Amino acid sequence: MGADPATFLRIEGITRRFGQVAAVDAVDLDVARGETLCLLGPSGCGKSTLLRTIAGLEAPDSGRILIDGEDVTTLPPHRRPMNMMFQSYALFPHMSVRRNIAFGLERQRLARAAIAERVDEMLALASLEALADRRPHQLSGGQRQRLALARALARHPRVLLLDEPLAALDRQLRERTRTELAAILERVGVTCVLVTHDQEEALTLADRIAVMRQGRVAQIGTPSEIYDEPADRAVAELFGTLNLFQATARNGGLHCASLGLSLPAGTGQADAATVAIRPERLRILDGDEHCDHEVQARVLRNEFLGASRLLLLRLPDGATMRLLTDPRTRGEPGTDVRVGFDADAVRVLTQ
Amino acid sequence: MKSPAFVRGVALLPLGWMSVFLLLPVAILLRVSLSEPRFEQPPYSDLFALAESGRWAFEGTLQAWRWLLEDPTYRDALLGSLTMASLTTTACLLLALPMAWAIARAPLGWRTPLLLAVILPFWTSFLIRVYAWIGLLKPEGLINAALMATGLIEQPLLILHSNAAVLIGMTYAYLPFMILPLYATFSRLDEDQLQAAADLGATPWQTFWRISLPLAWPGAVAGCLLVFIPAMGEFVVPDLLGGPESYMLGTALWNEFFRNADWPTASALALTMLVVLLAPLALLQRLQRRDEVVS
Repeated sequence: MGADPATFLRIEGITRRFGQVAAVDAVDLDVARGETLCLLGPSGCGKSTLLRTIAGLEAPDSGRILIDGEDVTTLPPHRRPMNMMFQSYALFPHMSVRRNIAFGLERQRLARAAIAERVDEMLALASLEALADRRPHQLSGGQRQRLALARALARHPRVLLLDEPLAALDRQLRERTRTELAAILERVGVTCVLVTHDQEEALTLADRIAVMRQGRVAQIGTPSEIYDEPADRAVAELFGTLNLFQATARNGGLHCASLGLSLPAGTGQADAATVAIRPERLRILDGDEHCDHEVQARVLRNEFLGASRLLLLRLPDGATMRLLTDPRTRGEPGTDVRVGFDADAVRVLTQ
Repeated sequence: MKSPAFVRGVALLPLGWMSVFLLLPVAILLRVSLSEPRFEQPPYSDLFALAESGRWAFEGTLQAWRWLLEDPTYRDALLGSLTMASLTTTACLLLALPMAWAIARAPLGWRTPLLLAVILPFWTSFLIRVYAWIGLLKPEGLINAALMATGLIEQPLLILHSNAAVLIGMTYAYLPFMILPLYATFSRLDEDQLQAAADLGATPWQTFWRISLPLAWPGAVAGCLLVFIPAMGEFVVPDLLGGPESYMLGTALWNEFFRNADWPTASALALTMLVVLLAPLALLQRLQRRDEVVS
């Protein structure tokens, strides 16, 4: 096999059908040693099924899964060298925190002292030392989340699988836990496949993101590649709000009427395309300030979001667009403003 | 909103039920157990009699209770019942565990038919079902005929009219009471937890012993009580399938009431059984309270 030597986990043409529908459709993925790959997509895109197939909880209809060159496709879950953290955490309610962590180690027939030592390590990693004898239902949401992670890491999995690791937490806790999770993953250095529908989670936790859609990988790349150079409109729309404008072919190039913007030939292959600009790449220009491109607009709404300010603008042709800016920016509804943006803020998307 | 009076009224309902159908009968039993048998209506003596002095005198006696203590027949019946009920409960548990597990793990469309198969025999009279076992177990019955035809045995096994036959019959009769609560808890198990166990290296067998079974414990306790309590008082099965050795509390009770017409002794026996059955119930209460503290 001419596999990339950096590849540690290799997913080859995995297909999983439910009836007529292919939940996962001939997916190929390579994950490097120590890398965190994030499967991102809306619910029903096949990301969870793919993760469960890697864990061995689903049997693929075709394809292979290799870890470090070893084919594990037909191994039952209890014999695969990986562990999964479930979205529901799936903690054992009748066991203490300590026994939950020890469960996987006991299955490995380790010496009692070795198990106790490893459990203590994991308790420290998850900051649960003081709660070792509690039952899961006596823990807070964040503590349960850390216990689930510690239990999955206890056996030194060669690949760690995380299914929506933060989805069960409320919003405030999620951000803090995300930072903790990132720190733990970095410290352990484990190869990791993470499933999420939350783009922020994907951007902050992943080394690479695979955007999934209808059982296929729509785009794969680093977080900044996916964010800045989305392959198509659907991928771009996954990450926050986006200003989209119709563009038509003119003189071998593209013309966007709303922005009064002409793009040279080669930027769009089709005769019609969509031009996209992220709200944070737009700026309100002062008197003598200038940008690559400028357009007049009227402020319709001005929303103070705390850390930023969102302006809803109307362009001369009636199209609207959003502008995300510094919270100190003025711009009363009804006033006219000059909006500027750099040439590299403009993305041309197919579809 | 519900008024406190309404809430109190609803709470009184079970209390009223208890008073009329449990406390009152128990009081009557207690009263009868303190009298002497009579061959008249009612078949027991009065507790109080008008003495010659013109005063009411207490005429009760502890004779029936003394008999219970002194006559080894009753002690044997109690021991017989305890042994048979325990054996039946154990046999039911061992048989029901794999059955309930299999039904709970069966494909969704299969579960209802399988459960129905468990419940369906209830649609026939209990008496007829127990009677049918006579046909199966007797020396020239189906089981012996089959075993002899295959050459496994030369002489028919003498199962009928023995404690073995009683155990078979009672296990058969009470098995559904064990399967249903076990099925209920098994089918409520969290699929993720079972998969997590497998993911953490547990074989299916280990997952069953370490996760499923401990979590199904409340169902097992409920099933054991549902089997043990009626098994303690059973008298139809030992009467039809048992032999002279199969003397149980239920049989003794039946004999005292209807053959010997000794209501006082029968009442004392019935009260003894009630007290014996309170023990497992108290145990359940304690277990439940422990669970509440935990959850």
